[in-house]
Amino acid sequence: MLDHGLDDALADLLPVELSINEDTHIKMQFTSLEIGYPCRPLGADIVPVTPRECRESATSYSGSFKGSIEVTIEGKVNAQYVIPVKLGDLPIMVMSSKCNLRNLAPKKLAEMEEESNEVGGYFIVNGIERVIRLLQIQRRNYAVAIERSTFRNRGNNYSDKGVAMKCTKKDLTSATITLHYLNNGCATLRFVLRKQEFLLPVILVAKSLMNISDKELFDRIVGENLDNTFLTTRIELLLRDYKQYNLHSMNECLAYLGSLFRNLLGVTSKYSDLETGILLIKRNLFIHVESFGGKLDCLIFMIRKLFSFVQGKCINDNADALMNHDLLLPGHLLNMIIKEKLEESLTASKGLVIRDSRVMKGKFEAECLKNNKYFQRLCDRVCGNIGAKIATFLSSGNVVSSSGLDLMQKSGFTIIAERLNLFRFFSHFQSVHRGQFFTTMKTTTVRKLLPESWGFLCPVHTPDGAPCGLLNHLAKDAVILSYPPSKKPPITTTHPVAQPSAVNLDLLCSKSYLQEVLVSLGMQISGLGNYDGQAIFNERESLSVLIDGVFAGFVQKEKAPSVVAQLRRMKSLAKYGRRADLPYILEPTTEIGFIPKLEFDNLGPYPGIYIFTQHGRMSRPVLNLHTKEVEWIGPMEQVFMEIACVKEDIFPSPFKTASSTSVEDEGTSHIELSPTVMLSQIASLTPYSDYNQSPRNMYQCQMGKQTMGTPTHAFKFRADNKLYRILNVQAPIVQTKTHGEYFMDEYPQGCNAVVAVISYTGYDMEDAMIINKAAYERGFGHGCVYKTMFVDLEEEEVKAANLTSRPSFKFSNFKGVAMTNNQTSKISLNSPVKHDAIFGGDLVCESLDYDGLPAEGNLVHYGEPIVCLIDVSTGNHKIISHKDHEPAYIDAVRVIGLGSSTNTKVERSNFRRVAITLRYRRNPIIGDKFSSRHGQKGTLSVLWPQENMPFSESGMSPDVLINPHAFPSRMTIGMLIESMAGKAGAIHGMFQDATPFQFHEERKVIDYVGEQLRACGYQYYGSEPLYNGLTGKVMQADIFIGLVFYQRLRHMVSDKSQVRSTGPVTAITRQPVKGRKKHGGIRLGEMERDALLSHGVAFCLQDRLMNCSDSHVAFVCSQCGNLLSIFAQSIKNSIGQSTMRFENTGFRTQMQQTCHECKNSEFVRPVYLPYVFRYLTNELAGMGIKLTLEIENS
Amino acid sequence: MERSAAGASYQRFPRVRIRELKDEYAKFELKDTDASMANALRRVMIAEVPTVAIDLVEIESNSSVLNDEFLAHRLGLIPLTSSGAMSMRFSRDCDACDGDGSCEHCSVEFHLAARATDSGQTLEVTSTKDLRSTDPKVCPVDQQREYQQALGNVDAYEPDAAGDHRGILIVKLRRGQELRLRAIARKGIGKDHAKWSPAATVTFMYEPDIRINQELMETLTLEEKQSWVESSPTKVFDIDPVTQQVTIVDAEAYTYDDEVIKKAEAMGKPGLVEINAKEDSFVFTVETTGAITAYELIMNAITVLRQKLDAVRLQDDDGDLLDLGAHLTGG
Repeated sequence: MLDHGLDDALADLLPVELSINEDTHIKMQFTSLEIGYPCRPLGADIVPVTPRECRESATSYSGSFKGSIEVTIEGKVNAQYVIPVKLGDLPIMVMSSKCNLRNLAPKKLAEMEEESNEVGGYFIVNGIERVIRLLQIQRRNYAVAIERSTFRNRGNNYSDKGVAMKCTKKDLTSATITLHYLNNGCATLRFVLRKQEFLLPVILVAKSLMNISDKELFDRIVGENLDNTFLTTRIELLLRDYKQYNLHSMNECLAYLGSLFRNLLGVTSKYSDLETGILLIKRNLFIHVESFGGKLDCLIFMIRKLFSFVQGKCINDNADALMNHDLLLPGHLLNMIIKEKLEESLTASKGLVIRDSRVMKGKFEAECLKNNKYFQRLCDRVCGNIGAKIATFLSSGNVVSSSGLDLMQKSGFTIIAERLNLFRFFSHFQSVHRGQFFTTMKTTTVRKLLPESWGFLCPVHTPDGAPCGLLNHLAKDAVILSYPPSKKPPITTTHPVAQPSAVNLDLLCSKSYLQEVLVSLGMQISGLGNYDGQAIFNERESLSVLIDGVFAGFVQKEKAPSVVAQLRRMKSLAKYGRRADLPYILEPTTEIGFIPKLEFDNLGPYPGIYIFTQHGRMSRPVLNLHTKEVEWIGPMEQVFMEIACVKEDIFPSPFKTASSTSVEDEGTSHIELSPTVMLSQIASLTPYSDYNQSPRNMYQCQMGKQTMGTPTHAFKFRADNKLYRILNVQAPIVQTKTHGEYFMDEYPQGCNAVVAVISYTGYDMEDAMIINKAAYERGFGHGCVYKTMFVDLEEEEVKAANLTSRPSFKFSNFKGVAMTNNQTSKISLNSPVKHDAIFGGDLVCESLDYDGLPAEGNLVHYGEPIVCLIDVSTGNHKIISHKDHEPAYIDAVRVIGLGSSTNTKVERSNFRRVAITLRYRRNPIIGDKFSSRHGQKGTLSVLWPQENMPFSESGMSPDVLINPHAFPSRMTIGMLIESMAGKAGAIHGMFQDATPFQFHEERKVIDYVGEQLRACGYQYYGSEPLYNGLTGKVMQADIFIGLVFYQRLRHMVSDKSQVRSTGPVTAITRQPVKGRKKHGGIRLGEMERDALLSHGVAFCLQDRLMNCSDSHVAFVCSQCGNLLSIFAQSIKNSIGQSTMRFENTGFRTQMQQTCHECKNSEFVRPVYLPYVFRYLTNELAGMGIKLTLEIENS
Repeated sequence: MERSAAGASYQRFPRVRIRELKDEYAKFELKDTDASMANALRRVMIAEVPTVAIDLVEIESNSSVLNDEFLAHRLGLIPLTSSGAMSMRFSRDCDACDGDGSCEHCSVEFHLAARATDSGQTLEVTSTKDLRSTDPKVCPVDQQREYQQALGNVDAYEPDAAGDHRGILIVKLRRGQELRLRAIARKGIGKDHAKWSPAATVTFMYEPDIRINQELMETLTLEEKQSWVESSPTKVFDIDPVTQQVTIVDAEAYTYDDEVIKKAEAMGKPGLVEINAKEDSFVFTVETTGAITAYELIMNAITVLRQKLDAVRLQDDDGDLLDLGAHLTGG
């Protein structure tokens, strides 16, 4: 977006024009836009801001967004002003071209206290890292045949069939056009303008695009298909129907359209209807083509496809298939939003000018237009908050838009990039969402895994439950083309896209060049938008060729396969440049979607050759068997290609012809680079995943992302809400190739454990696992959690303020003494001076330092002070204490300055915010969750002493015991193999390659590993005789024992355990509050109640629902039955003194409960009732319903 | 009712034969006793022979990348020379002090102070170089080894064990980072925490009793013999090059894996070999962490075991055991 999108958007922005009166016209237009690097003032200087600073101080990483508006005034005053405007601070993506970290070496990054392997791709808004999600959208510039029942609701006669095309401009702003088929044979065109839908007759649109005769239009659509009476009658009908409009020339049509849309487009009176009509078409119809002729070609193509579809000659395009999808990238979305915001701000300023001119009447021209001051003020007012709006978008994920941006959803665009571990973090950047709209759909068709996704979206890596199938992840080798060819940075994957050097890549993608190439291969140019396009397309004999949705010509259907093969050759050999036997080359990522014409019409989608060069597509490498080079293919391409997965799949040999330039229209043309390309990065990290039952691999993809790992190396420089860290980590002995390729060892997240599969103590039932106590004590699974709390004096003051006064707090620890700046300045932050050397004052909290902050390394328990604040005006103090029941260490105390001038000592001690990071010890305790890498999770049930553990003859005792019942139903054979391979690897001192699909029936993995085991004196199948640690006797059966990589999951009992006997209650009902944090209870719900009832345990039920909840003693008047009329009255003694002092000792004392209705206390009785009953009585009383109780003495 | 168990004596006279004895490694036979005895010895060696290990750490300054508690845990796991541990007091039983480390009977104080100067070189803080003990008898094992080597007693050690002199790495410090702490080592047992366990490996096996049916064996061809011999993952059998008879080369290499028996069955010759575990004969393998020598470990284990038995015997007078006996005989 930064590189070119903004310029494209700027070029596409229309000036806003307005007329104050007949002869004064004002035109406003953005002429330049500029985004700066993130920086902040420091004293007199401006210094760059780093992402680390923003994270630690919970601010946004944003650069200044500036622009200039040109105001042209025509009329009495003729003037032109260029007004510089500030558009606010725009959040900058980390590692983007405006990021201060761009292109820095890892070492330099580490010096700057950043992650040395930082890859960026996220924004920092208020200290939180957020990502804009990738979204699947309809393929751009491709007409999709859709059958949708909701189409019928558009009006009378509307059928469920239509053809839709998402037309996009260069900057990827789009406008969708839909052609609807009507059951009476007609067709209408639907488009959206300002969130409103409009339907136009197609012929009206066609006629307004060009002066074209009915005859020619008929010929262009029907071609030589005259015997297709279905088509001809309908086209004739369309043309005949159109006669009612009585509009003949193109200008008449345009003027008609202009008159209809005048108001909506908001044009000034200067514009004629004709001009308005042109504007409408230019901005809203077929916006991917410039020329009107090209637009008409596109319309004709869509009409052809629509009727072919309706007639049943082609099937509908599956709107859920990846073949018909593109991706919406963060930059493009952001660009669209910014573009619209700019547009809106101009429109808003227009409104203000008109208002001002009306208010000021004659004076307006004289005063305001004379110089640029008025406009400067105006623009500053209107534009200043664009940056803030973008920040809001990023932090909330909601798009506020006047046009809808041609998007299916308004919210859910952004998510937090959680740094739980590396898996979690980078999977955010690989996830592709189908769209929020689909989450509410009841049908499951959209969630289905379709074969079209092969190689692009991972079949394994999708979550279970609600987002299943909607949230997918990109396959390892799939790339997203995010830039237009000429701006494209080199793609860094294992198979880099080799770009031809010294060639203008934009040129390679231009329509005229591609047309030239195609003509050389035998395409015939056709279409009204093309020079020399007189040839009439014949649907029966030829295939239409479209380049980015623009009609280019046609190819004989027999010649089509060879044309496509030639194009592929040009594409895959592009890196060698042009040469004698290859006069033309194509840009390597050009997508050549070839939908062949099948023998029977009704079997496939509408045939044609669809070439795509635009960005926002996906692409992946395969090997072209003819050229022996890597070729990059797109999702539409691959559907009609013969790609072998492995060598054995090749059929019939493509090498049959000697010359590779000959026509190869049958047989396998391509082969996958590896069978694992279909997996995402996380899925391909599962060892031996090809041996597991497939859902288990899905579970591992989930659990890998919940593992306590090493989320970052820069723990000291991060102030995340919560960070998990595992200590004592290891590299897995059994690992896949991906593990090495992505340097996963730099962020380890687990430990190789000796695992015995045995039912030993009874503590291993139902997925519980036993851990060797000695292993635990030596560090197995040790970890910690970091939590950061911010203390902001501003917030604390607001919180403590009452109606009359507001304290002015200061971080300090001196009782009753308001420190002066003079005193604080004596304290240097670097050399702590004993406080009593300077002051005589006493400390409020002994455990805190003089500045009211804790010392790093201190242990704080529940209720102990962490921060002490002193109100400078009164000398009162406020203590912020540790609110968790779990003790924590103070890991770091960060003082956050104002940022502006932290030069002087006084300023330095005048900080207003601190961030305190607490570290919780989280060594494994009973109930914590662990898992292997095969979807086998379990909880720790007991720490079993080493001497009681089974031991082998060599003296090994296992770290972990798991129950054999974990295997039969789950069929995670991969885990068994990992166990054996791990054992062999550990003995031989080598890492084992566990990449899936390398072993098969002829080369069994079990033999491979078995031989290794035997070579070092172990049993072939991985089991060993073990001795019972309690008796010392050999156990009857041999026990399967080996090394398995174990992950510790983040779900820990310390975060979940909830206990309460008494505690806080809600004020209204006096029932216990809910929520673990608030020390609340767990709800004993209706079903639990039913269970207790069915057991007949009435007393227990009463205890739960009444005594432990909101039981209280209520006084009821047994005479009138009233609960609310009872009041306590103090009994006056004989002298008339009140005995109120007994009040607290309950009703048995001198207080007397009296019924106000009956005016006596004789019949008042105490009754045990739930307090909520009293509440109900009150509520009913509020409604005017009296509730009485009948009380009987028993 | 007559108590048949009460009068009978089960006393046996176990024999020990030491096969191999090094400082940190021992292999010995234990004969004429049963599994309960052998296993008790093993369990005591792992869990109840006392050593000294760092138990309290007071951190003065830590600007390293590792957490305080993580460092403390690492320090605790460093094996300290504990030959005197048997005669030391547990600090919970010590009347001479309140367990604050200033007591010679129950604790040893350690100091560590390291700071990476501005040279730019990463400083490795190790147990050899930086951990200073106040008691020369209790120090990290690698320091002891260096000391011994300096005295010239190197030959007592295996050459490969002396290969790496860097000691145990505690933490690496970057320029400007500092670590200063005071630590107190105390006596303890492996049952309480694995850091006090002197045993790296303690295991035993039943001595196997292998009988080859030579008659049946002779019905096999040489190739069949060869493949049968190779079916054992460990080298137990071999073929005599002269007589071409299958012989037992190392019975103790047998791991009770039953591979040869399965192989014989697969070959259609069940009963080719008969392997039984001798119920009263055990081969022990003992390896220590270096805190005490293997000999000390075994002897201390026997002492501890004897103390435990004494405790039981003393209880016998109270009549508990009589009740137990009564219970066993169904009374």
